[in-house]
Amino acid sequence: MHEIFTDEWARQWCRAIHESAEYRSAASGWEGAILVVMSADPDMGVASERRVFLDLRDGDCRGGRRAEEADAEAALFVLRAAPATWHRVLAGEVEPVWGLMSGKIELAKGSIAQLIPYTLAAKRMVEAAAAMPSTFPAGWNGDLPR
Amino acid sequence: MSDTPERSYQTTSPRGLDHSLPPMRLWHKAKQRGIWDPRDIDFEQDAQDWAGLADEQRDVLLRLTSLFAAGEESVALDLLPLIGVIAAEGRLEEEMFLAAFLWEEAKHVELFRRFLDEVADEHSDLSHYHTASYRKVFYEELPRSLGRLRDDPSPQAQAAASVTYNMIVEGVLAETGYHAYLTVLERNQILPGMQRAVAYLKADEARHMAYGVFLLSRLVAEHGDPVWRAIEARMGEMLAPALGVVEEVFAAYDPMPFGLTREDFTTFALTQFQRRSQRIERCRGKSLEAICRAGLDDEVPDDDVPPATAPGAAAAAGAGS
Repeated sequence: MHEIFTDEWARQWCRAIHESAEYRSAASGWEGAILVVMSADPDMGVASERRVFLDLRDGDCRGGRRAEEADAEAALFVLRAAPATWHRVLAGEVEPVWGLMSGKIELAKGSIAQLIPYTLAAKRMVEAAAAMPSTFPAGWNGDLPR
Repeated sequence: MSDTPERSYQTTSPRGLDHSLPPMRLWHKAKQRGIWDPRDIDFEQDAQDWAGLADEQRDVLLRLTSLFAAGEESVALDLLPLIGVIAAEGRLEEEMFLAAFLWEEAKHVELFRRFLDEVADEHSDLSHYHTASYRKVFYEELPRSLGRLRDDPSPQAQAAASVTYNMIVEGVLAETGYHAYLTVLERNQILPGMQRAVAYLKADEARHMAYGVFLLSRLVAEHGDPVWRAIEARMGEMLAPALGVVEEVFAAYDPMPFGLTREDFTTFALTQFQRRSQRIERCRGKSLEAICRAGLDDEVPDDDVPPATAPGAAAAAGAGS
């Protein structure tokens, strides 16, 4: 069990995505890596920004890891949100498409238009992460800051 | 003992009508700008343009028209339960605007049927254009969420209905669709009558959206987080099928006629959607008075209708400000 948005957690997330028949079906035709960013929030136990990279191709996840500097260039999409938002997304309180459309999750690279064919795939990715046994930074327990 | 509640009349009481309420300001704008007649639209050039289009071009315009026509029919049919709830709560100023709202939806229905009859000369069953996501939104979710209000007029049910009707159907689909449709017509310099009609539709829909934003803001201010959570939950349920409607249009063509892109649908809509969502969320913890004072003038610009048939525009601008 790994803490979210760490290197090991990203590898585990990638495996979970890769093994998800629901994701594979929804992501047919998807070509492009994504960078998922959790911004720093010391009050939520996240002292510095955490970034994970997922290499996604046509329903497969070919690799997941902590992101490196060059990954932002390689990624087709960069999604960024505060820890409180990711907490609510993983808890199922904020549906990912709503998160993106409302701006709670910032699409820092890429466009909603490109994502339209893959809204279900995005949902399945989040479901795979939510279903994984994970640990969370100190400060994630108790009431959510909203 | 009578079951009839004691009736009193607002307009003969000291309260009178509150012209400062946002719905009342929208009512005044609707009286000035919502009076265009679908029968006054000149479709003569449109019919000539239609005859000169390629088959694929006609097909995509017919597809979009069939989505708009059934969509307008659906919102005209499904609005009544919301009007009933608002009337039962004694919100006279809101009901007055909703009367204009429904009248305008009826005109939109007439407009699209007139286009099919007189421009496209199309009298066959077009429901084959209504794909799975469209059916989910317009055949199931919209009638269900509005119909629920007949038995459950709770604030959460009202919020779910308004999200479905105003934010998703009008905000994401109609406003987006009309913007993309108008972009295509202008870019290709075709169907001038429809271009004018869509400009009127967009202006009407902007007022409807402004009311939806007001209603959701009022519900959030009055009832707090339970209503906000209902709004978030409904957004989460409805956004994917709404975007699915757009995607299913694109899936039907390769290449897409007129060079229409997904960006034509999303770029404008996303900005509007985010601004409205954030505006509603900011009402958490605010007083109702603050919501009403804030107004909605940025939702309904003063130059939103073509000038030639809007002789009362100057007066309307004064009434709405």
